[in-house]
Amino acid sequence: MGHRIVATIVRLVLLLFAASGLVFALAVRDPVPPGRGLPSTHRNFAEGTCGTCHAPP
Amino acid sequence: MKLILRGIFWFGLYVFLVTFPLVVAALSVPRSGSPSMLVDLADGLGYVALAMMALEMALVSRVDEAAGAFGLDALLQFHREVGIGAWLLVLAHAALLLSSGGYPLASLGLSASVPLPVRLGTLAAAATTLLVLLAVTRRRMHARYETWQLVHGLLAVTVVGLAAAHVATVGRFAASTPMRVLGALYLGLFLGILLRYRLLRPLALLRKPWTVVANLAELGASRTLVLRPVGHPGFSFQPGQFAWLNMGRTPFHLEQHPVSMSSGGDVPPGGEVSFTIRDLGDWSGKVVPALRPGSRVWVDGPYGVFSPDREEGPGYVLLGGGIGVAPLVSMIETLAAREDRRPVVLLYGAHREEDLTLRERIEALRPRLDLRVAYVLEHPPPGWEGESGYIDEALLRRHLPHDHRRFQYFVCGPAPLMNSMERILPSLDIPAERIHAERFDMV
Repeated sequence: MGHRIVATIVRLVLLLFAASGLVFALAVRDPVPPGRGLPSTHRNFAEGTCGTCHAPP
Repeated sequence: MKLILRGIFWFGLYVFLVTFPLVVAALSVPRSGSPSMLVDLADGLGYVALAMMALEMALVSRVDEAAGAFGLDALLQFHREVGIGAWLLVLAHAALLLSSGGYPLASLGLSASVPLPVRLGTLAAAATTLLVLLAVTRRRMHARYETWQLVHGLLAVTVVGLAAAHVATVGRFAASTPMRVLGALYLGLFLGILLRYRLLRPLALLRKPWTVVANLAELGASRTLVLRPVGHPGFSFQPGQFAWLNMGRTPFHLEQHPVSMSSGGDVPPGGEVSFTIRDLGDWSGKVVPALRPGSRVWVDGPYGVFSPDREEGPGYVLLGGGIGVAPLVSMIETLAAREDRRPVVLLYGAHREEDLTLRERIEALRPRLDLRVAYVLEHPPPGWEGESGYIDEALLRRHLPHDHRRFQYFVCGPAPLMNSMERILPSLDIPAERIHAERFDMV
């Protein structure tokens, strides 16, 4: 298989994988609109970080 | 299964294995609890990057079925470029988390106050960066291949281990039971491939030693090793294929090199097989010349799809440069042994006349088949009546037969020759499916 063909396939594959990450982010998007408070699973505030995702609340 | 179907199957399996964790994660976590879309996107890219890295080794672990569908040089190129892509996704993962506001740069680090998942993630990203930098700068650093290969392998295992621990401890998507099961399966797959590649395959080779029958000096600072199987039938092969040579005390020795067979295929059980190797460094310049008749060698093969046996045509055009001529000589020798009457054109490029490795064998084969040969010298000696310069479009037009579009083309040589042939041959209206290339400097 030619070098250029493989390089093209790699670019397409990387594009596909990056797009799949974006689709994933859209699919798991929190339906709670901004201003309505933190989602229910964003918890453990007392510890200073969210126990679910480790982000600061 | 047809080659193209096999290729589609393995490529589809690869894409499936990389993206499947995203599907499971999306289905196993309720559509609530998302801290921000940037974090979700970072998570998605992180999962993809981890799956890609875990599968990197599978691409180069000589899974015969997959290697047979694409060719090992194509798989190695894919491995290299996809590895860089996975690293970029890791960087994107970190950059998105930092830009989400949830993980300020000041909160990163390796101190005990930093949450464990963040520490593991930072270490995994740093190890991935080191792995990629060492891989892309290997030739410029003139690193010893064997040392680099060992460091590369250890770093790869470290990266996957750290990244898996990072995902396992970070919670959220990875905390769900389906994702934990999937994570265990992927880790099992990774360890299984590692076990097969580094333990089971060498164990199988241990029962199949080879011995050196002759170690012959050739033109062009090359040597031909003639090997014979000891206590086993050896293997037959399709002309143009290659095998991995290991000259360590056992097949577990890490140092091994892919070398094309230069003798004819269709080897009877117990028959000898020859490899022609040019002095290109430590191994080929020191270890190979030191081999004596009776020395033990381990041979893992045959591999490769670069063979006229897989491509029927009314004739063959063989384009070689330097030591890339070795698999082409194997093809010519096999066609001669089969009394094949189809025309064969060999265009063989080299720096100087004394660099024309295996020229005597080519000349000896001339009367045995319809073979036309043109030697193309970059620096011809005084009085040279053959071709000079490089194998370019004008030279091809002079030597190709009138019905050249129907011939099968095999190209093997250094990168400049390969790159120019990939550009020139299609411009001569030769269909892409009749152009077959293999880069001998694939590793």
